[in-house]
Amino acid sequence: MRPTGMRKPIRPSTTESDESLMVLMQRGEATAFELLLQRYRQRLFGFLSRRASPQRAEDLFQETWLRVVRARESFDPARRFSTWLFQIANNLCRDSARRSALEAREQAQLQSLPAAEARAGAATLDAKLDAQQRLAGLPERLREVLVLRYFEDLGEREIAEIVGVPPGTVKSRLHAAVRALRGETEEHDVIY
Amino acid sequence: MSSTDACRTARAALEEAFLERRTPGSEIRAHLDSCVACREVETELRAVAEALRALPAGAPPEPLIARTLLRGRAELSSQSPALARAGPLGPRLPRGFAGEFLRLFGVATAALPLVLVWNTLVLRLGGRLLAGFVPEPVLSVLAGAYLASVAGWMAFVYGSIPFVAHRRVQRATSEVTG
Repeated sequence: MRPTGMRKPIRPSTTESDESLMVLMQRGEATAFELLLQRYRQRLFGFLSRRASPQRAEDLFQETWLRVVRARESFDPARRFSTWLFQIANNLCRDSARRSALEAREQAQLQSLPAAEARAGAATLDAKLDAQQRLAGLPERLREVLVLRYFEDLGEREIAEIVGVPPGTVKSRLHAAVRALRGETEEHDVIY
Repeated sequence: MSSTDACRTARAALEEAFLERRTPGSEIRAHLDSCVACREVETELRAVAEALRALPAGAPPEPLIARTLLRGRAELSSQSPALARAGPLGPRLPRGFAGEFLRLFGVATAALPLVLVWNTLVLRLGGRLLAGFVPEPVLSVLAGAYLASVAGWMAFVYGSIPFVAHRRVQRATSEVTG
């Protein structure tokens, strides 16, 4: 006989929505956590590896999931889990970028590229283009929106919710990011 | 539209197409055919897109997944809300219980003056009606019994509020989890 006050265990299934799995996780269901991790492992790691070095991406991946576990009580099932997850990951990326002196040095080096070289046309933007380096060279506020849009295929509204700025700002940052990727760095374009 | 305006529009459209990973529309194509500078921008964007697409997808290593699962599970069991905060009466109350309890308590309290007025009226009118043919001591006993039953009902109603609130919150949660 089941002792009084004990809840009937619920077995999460693979068909449950992310939000339902979070509710189960709030009740302490470890299987729900595993299912969520399996669902988002690829997307989340892809997002993080475009925002940080490979080693740092691994640390951030683990840290993101631990934060999900620790903050599960604060999750509102009326919200989208993916937005909440990327919000946590994005905040961790920002903190990490702020702390990382190495990244700041790399960024400074990239920004000091001679204008002529940066503005070089298609001839120099050939297969040798180090896309990862160019991406890493973008200011944090431009890189975060570009990665979320270009690689994660998120809409402007959802990106706005994740990064905490109005959708209009997301749009202008996206265009500024594209111009910066091309090497067209106009200061007035990227001040937000 | 001046050529500068046309170039500005075309470049914005090219950037939009780049972000959406599609080819620019026919209107822009017509402008590109006649504008060398914008064509150059398009070529640059194509090269950037190609380079970005070539970036590794970044699959998480299996040991990382295993490590994360292990730490997550440990964290969950160490601070499982159902177990960690279980008091002597059992697991903690479900989320939203306090709000539902206060709501029901508020409704019950709002109805209280009406109940009091009604019962006062019943006692007074009943006393007057029965006063002619029921002896005084019997009337007092009847009034006492009536008051006791009213008090009993009120205790039942107020006492059941926490249980009703708990049941309602649990039902709402199971609707969310399917």
